[in-house]
Amino acid sequence: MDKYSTVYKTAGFFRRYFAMVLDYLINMSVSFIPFLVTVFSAVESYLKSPPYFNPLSFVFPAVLLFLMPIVVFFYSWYFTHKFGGTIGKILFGLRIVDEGGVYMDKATAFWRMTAGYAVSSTFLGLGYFWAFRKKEDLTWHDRFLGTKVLTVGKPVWGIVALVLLKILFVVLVVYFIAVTLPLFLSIPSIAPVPLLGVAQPVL
Amino acid sequence: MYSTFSNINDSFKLAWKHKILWILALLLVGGMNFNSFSNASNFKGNDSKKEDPRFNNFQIENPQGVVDKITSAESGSSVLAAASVSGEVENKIPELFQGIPSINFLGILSSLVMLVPIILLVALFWCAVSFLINVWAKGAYYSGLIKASNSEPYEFKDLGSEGKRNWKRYLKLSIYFFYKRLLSVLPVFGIGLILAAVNGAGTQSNAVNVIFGILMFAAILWAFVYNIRLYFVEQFSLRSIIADNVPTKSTYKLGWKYFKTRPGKSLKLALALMLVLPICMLVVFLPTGILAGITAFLVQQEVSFVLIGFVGLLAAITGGVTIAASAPFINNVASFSWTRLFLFIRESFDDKPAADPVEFMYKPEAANGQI
Repeated sequence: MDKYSTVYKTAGFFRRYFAMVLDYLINMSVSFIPFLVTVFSAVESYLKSPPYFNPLSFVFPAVLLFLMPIVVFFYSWYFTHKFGGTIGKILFGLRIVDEGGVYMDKATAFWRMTAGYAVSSTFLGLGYFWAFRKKEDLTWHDRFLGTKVLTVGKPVWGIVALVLLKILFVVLVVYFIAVTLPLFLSIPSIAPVPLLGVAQPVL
Repeated sequence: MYSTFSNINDSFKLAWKHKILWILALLLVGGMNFNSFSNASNFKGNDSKKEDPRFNNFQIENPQGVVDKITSAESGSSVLAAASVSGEVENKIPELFQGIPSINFLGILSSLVMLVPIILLVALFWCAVSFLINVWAKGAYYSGLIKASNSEPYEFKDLGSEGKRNWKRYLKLSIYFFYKRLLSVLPVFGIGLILAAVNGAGTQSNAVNVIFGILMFAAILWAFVYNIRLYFVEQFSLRSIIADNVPTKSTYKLGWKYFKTRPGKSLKLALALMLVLPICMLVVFLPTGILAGITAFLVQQEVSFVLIGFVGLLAAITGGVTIAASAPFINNVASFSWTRLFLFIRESFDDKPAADPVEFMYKPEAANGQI
């Protein structure tokens, strides 16, 4: 795998950016969408029949909301160490290698994901834009951890996945506005409780 | 020759020259926050709730009409219809809420019982990650400070490698100092607990209270002085990890040794920094202050909204940029000052630990100056 650092070029800012966007969309689709779906079903069941509502139905979405970022964290760590990048990066034909030209060890992958990204996020994310500065296309987290992102293939699959996920998200948003929201608005709500004998703000 | 004034003067120059260290300084003073997005959204949520016109001065008028509407609606969707009617509230309003179902407290309680441990575990996980980032940054930062103070060349990668190499030792040292600080305040809590127990047992007497009061005061005073001394020791220990390359506990002892060698200089430097840094902050924030003053003046004069908005925006941007640049710079000035004092004290030793760390470690403690 040592050939990586000598044969392949470093990836430019925009390709890395779109790979990151794809990763965000993938992470969102596996964590945030299930959360929204479960929350909406819980709220719907509450609005339809309040007396039979079980508060435990809110536990699962809450657990999802809290635990999924940790799952995504470990997935990113493992994939970066094992395959040289997360799914978004792999689909865009990118691989992260260390100074020896091989995939990072676990420790370097961990520090790159945590301390490295924290470093690049300082000064309003200036560290990410540092990739524009010189020909090496290195961000601050690359410079601190001695890593680089190489282009090992064409970004076709990445672009296809990005477009498909974008379409999926647009469809979901349209579906939410056109179908789910009117459904919720049509369900009778309950007025808030004002204090007795005093004029109180009320919906 | 070392002097506090020349130390601070040179530290300003070094802090300005070594801008790479600004990044790490910002990381250490809290420039990065895992939870920033959720905080922002929470803030927005609270704000929008405050500004929601439905929550302001919305009163029910004609309550009799409300009650009539409810009683006529009888079942099902009557509550919402009733709420939409306006009128002033009187004691008859309870009839409005008869249709609200009772709250399932057991369900809510069991949900909380299930959720709270998960939330705590998740919070603990992210705290641990933040703490690890902090100790990594310490390793990189103090290595950079010492190299810069010694005029040695270094790059991003050198600092990152030092962070990776030393994070465990900084982790141990942080825990060690936390433990020492905790121990220092335990007597205060202990005396308070005994006093509460004595008073609770019914044997209240003024003499006992006075004795415990004196004891409490003495304990607080001791904890205060000890923690100030511990701060100085920490400054030296943090640098000693990189410079002396000895185990964590020895680093702590070395910190005490460095402090006790020149306690006056440490105190002088701390006081000088307390005087100089706020003045420096005032100077740096002067443009922001002037712009904010102009904005306030314009508001008072009731000039056009566009002009006020423009000057206000300019003040906000200037303030933001000033904070982003001055926080790490000021932090670097203080850190360089302590590093230079540390290097000065260290050079004054006859027996330098870094000359042969192994031999140093195997010497009796009295011989290597740890006692």
